Amino acid sequence: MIKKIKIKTLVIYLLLCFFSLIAIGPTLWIFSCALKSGEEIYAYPPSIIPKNPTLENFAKLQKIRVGQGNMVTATSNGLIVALFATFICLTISTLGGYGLSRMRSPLKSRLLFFIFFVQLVPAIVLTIPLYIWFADLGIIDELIGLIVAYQSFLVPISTAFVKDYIDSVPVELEESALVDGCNRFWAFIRISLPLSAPSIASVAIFAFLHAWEEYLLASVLILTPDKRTPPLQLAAFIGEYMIDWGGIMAGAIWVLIPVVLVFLLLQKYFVAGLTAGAVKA
Amino acid sequence: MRRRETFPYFFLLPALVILIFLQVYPISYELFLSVQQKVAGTYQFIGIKNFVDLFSSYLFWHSLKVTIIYSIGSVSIAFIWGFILALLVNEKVKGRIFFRTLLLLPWALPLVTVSLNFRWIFHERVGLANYLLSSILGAEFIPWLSNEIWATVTAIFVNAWKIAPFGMIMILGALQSIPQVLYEAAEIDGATSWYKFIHITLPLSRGAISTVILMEIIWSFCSFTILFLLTEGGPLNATLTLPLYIYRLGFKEGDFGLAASASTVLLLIMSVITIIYLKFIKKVGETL
Repeated sequence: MIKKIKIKTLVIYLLLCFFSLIAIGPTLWIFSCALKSGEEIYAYPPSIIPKNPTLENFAKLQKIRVGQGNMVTATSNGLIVALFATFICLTISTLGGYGLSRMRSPLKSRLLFFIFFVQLVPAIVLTIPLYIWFADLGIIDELIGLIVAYQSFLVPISTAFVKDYIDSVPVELEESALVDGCNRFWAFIRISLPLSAPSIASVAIFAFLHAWEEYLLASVLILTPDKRTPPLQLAAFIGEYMIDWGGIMAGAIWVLIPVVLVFLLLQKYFVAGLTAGAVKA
Repeated sequence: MRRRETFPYFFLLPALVILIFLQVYPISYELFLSVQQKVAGTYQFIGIKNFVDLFSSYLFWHSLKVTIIYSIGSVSIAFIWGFILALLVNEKVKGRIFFRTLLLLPWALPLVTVSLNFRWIFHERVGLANYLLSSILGAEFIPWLSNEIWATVTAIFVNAWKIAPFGMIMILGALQSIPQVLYEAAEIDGATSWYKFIHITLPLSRGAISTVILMEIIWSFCSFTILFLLTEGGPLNATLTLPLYIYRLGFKEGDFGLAASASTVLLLIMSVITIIYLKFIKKVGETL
């Protein structure tokens, strides 16, 4: 009997190791390849650990070539877009989530369905109308266009997420604040908002990372190399005739850094945000 | 009896304004475009001509077929993969939190790096995949991305790899909420592990299972970045799914009218899937 249990545990460990290797192996491979020289990266058989580690691929990232953009500019663009998009999304969705949670009208279920439904609208469906519309407004090829466009998918998901959380904050607490002479807005700011801090942290992480890594809308709404966000700059290593794999691997690490840091340090909030009906297309 | 309050609407107003401008308006504009054609810089109403053109084009039906194959393939693999992972990390062994973190990583990674990294791993001549397979199993080199069938298989694998951890987390949540007494009672009656799985585990995680399947179908159906950066729809359009076809019509061929009509079809398919799901969830809720 004891032997049977031991074998079972052993099998579980073997399977866990096998699947974990499949899960993290490809990412480890990025790190290995990023440190290889131009010659070594195309060598066969490939070396698992770089023989002569070099930082030349990372040097490519900051090289400034006229009309081709570089990862330094892209990073500052990406941070501007992600920070502003997160701030706007947080403001709108905490207010909206609270309003939705405290609503008691027959309209509520329709509004909930509407917010659920727009989460499922594929990004590709929005690209053409947004492209034409933003071109008319003159905010195409502008970072502000991206910040606005990202609200289309950040707001519904975040609002629904905050609403679910505020549902668990008792109304009685706010009502006692109202009795003490607070108005609704301050009751929300002073009572419900601090109590829903964990959900706000999740929404902030979710919004920041999605704005940081978004590719489709950015590739359509950004035209000039100097306005590129990091994912676009990364994809720009795919040339018409050849692909600079060393540059891509180094750039991929750059794009990965914030994501992996947040994932390892703030996993609890991160997972909550990712599974809260996060819809990516 | 509470008096009817208007304050929630004020709080919700900014979110509704955003959704009206960035969802309702663009979708309406899309529907409008789908019955228009650009002639000499201005749009003209042409009725259902775009749809007639679309339905008579070979590539549209081809891309629809590819999308369905890609979705069914991705969802079946990702779902089973996620379920196995959930069962594994639900076992009470030491270090399971550590393994759960590792297994969750693909879900957290940016699509851009995932797609490009796998394009490199599945490189035909110097890629890691062919190297490992040939040195461990002695297999011949596989044309992962240059053969039509293999490219589809590779794309399905990459997508399933990315979304499987979502299934793991959702199903793990469901598994952990199943009361342990049920298993103990079944054991007293001499039930086998398989019997317990079929009659306790599966029925009691039905809600999570249907959510996972719906989300995975929708993600696969609308998946753009993975295919765009991994295979670019090729070779010979073998992995040209509907979203990539819409992108090509609109931004490569500049035919916004036709692209809008294809988008309308995609939106309709999404709505049908969602409605079926909501009906199904309601039924599950009633029988539980």
